[in-house]
Amino acid sequence: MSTIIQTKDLTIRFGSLVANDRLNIEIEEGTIHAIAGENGAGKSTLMKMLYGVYQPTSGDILVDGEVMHGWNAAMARSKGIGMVFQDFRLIPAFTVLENVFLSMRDAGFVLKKKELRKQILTLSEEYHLGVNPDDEVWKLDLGQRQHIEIIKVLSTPNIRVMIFDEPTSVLAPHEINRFLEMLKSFRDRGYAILFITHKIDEIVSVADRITVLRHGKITSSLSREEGFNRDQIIRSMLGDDVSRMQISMERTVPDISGMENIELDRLTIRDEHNREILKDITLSIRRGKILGVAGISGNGQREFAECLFGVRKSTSGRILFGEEDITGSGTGKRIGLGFRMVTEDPIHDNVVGNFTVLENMALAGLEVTTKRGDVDWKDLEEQFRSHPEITDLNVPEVHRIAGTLSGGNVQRMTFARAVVSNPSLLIACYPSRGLDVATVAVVHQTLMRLRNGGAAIILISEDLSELMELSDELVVFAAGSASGPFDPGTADVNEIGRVMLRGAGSNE
Amino acid sequence: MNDLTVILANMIAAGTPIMYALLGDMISQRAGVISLSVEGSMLVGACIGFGVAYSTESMILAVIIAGIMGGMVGLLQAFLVIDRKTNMMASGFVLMFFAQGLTAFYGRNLLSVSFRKTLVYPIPFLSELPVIGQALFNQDILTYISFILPVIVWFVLFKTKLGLLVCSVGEKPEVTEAYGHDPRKIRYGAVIMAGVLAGIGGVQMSCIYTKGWANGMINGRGFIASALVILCSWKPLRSYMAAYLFGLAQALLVFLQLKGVPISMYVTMMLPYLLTLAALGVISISKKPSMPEKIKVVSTGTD
Repeated sequence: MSTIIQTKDLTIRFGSLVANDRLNIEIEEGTIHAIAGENGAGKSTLMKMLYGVYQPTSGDILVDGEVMHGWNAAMARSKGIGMVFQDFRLIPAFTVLENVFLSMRDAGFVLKKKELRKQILTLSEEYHLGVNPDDEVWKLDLGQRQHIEIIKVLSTPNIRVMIFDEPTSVLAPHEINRFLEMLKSFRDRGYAILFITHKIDEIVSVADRITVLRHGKITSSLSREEGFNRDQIIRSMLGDDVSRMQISMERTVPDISGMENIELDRLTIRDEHNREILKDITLSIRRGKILGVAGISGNGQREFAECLFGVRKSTSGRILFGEEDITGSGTGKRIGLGFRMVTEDPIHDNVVGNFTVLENMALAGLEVTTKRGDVDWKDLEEQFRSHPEITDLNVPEVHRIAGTLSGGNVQRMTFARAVVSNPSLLIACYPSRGLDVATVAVVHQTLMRLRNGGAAIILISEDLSELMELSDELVVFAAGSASGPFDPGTADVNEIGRVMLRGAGSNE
Repeated sequence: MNDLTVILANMIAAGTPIMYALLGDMISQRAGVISLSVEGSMLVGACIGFGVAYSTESMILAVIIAGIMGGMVGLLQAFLVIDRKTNMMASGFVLMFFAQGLTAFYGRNLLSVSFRKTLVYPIPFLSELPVIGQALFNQDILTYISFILPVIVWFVLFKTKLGLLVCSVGEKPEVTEAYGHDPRKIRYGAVIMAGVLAGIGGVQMSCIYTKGWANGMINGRGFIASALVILCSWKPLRSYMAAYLFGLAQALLVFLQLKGVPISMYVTMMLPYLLTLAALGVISISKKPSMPEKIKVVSTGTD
């Protein structure tokens, strides 16, 4: 197999930050090369440099053994290198065909619909992409949009290297396997595939070679023949953080005497379009337990969480907190009872973007003390710095503006906020989505500690392995009802997957 | 000529300047900028174009100069909105008032003169058709161009790379930029184009329709054109319907006066505007399907 791209001591600096430090990698035809690493390890920077978006500060990029001078995206494309971006470059109001046309450099001035339609359909059939050239993009889901991006790359003349930037982060679990199969079919046709991920299972299942980055440096590079070692990959991704964190996932039996459970009695919830998205849900949410909620997103998880928290009214049924009927109460009452929620999109729903971290923490979570009629910010800052949960979660510096934080840091902050107030019920919606391995580990540990302290936890997630690992009980939302509860210790993952896809009917 | 021919001919004549401004602003709105300055462009085009035609007797030169002057107003609007990030509505209004003052000054010696040169070129055979022949095919070149202009704009906007780039800027400029095109330049081009077309619409009005210059003669037609873009749902081929709807109302006004129908002139003068308003009201309750994303940000405040 011949090498297409080779880098020699490739380095890029942004100010004082060395984002990529003397990287030497080789991209060969007919191989799937995974680039792994935590958020901020320099993966995306490397991809963008290979695709010519960024110019290296020093070092060389060699294509077919030739040193490239003045490397840029147009050159990369002419050498047959294409990239599927994480933020799709599509115009929602346009049709698929128009979007593909816009992306093509040599397609001429006048749109030749017939030819282009044929070309798209041929590619779509060859790789089972299921793309209809005349669909308007805004009607399509993220998985389908990714297929359009792939078609755009495949339409580039002489394409031989395809770079994917975190391709699976937008996909639902059932789409991921299909995507990985597609990668294999590209490889079998001789394309060189370069893909970024921080999910180790994906690497182990498809990659021929893996390069792990940490703080801009290559920490290990393994090929399939040499054998992949899961633990070794994790260690190279996280470095010493793993030993420092001492992740404790111990499950203890908490003393929950005198703590109220939450009972849901034949609860029916409608969505924005007034459809019954969940019907007759009867569930016990018990203190000191993690109740996992599995399901493909859009099956009522969000509505369920909102209804429990009091943002959304149920159409019928009752919610009991101990003996008390709280069905009609609003969020104020429920927060008073110790209910906390971390939504699926904390940047939009939970955080005031223009406020600092401390101000956001003061809004909810930290106990606000006053001094001469004013908020005692000094005291709050002291609380913030001394609180063990906040330190453990490694919440960013108090004076940073919340809107400028990365997704992982916002998640750490909202989590810390929910945790410091000792909740009776924590509703965590997709708490690990889009986060790096280290943050996910910390989040999991925090959930477990809360559970061990007697809180009831509702964990809504699409990641089955996460749910199986953490939950004490598991329910599946599908087709308007909740199936289960399953015992994650004994339940079969395939069975749960089947219920997710088909709904409760297949369970009977 | 029978009554119907009179009404049709007047409808075409009154609709043509609107057609130019309407299509111009549609291009601009597709790129994400509402060019209310088309009103100013029309005024400048009407005044200076008329001046050039009167002094040189060259209609071609008049049209070219009117287009350039209209485009200059567009350039000002583009600079204010794109580079200085001013409110597009406010800057459009201010440019209109500026154009009003400017043309009143430059047009002060043109007020009493009229342009007698006939610019009508009847099309053989077609112009002899009953009823529509005289109305449609006994016209000037600018009117003939306006007959096919919507098709040209439609083709360019939706069937060529340039047009799709213009539309992409009005939807998601990040994407345009990602493909290596400068959204700023494309926007500038679209807004200037709006001014050029509106300027030509203006000169058509002063030299051919009214055959004279009067202060403030555009009288809100640019604003009407801008509003009619919504009525068209940003689709060029619908401009036939929109422009001639306004033209028809104008034609009825003339017709009622000719027939001596006893209605106050001031009431009939409201008619075209009233009709446009009613049409907008009807379209606005129905869904707004194809509004460019960047216009949505301005007009509804949602991003």
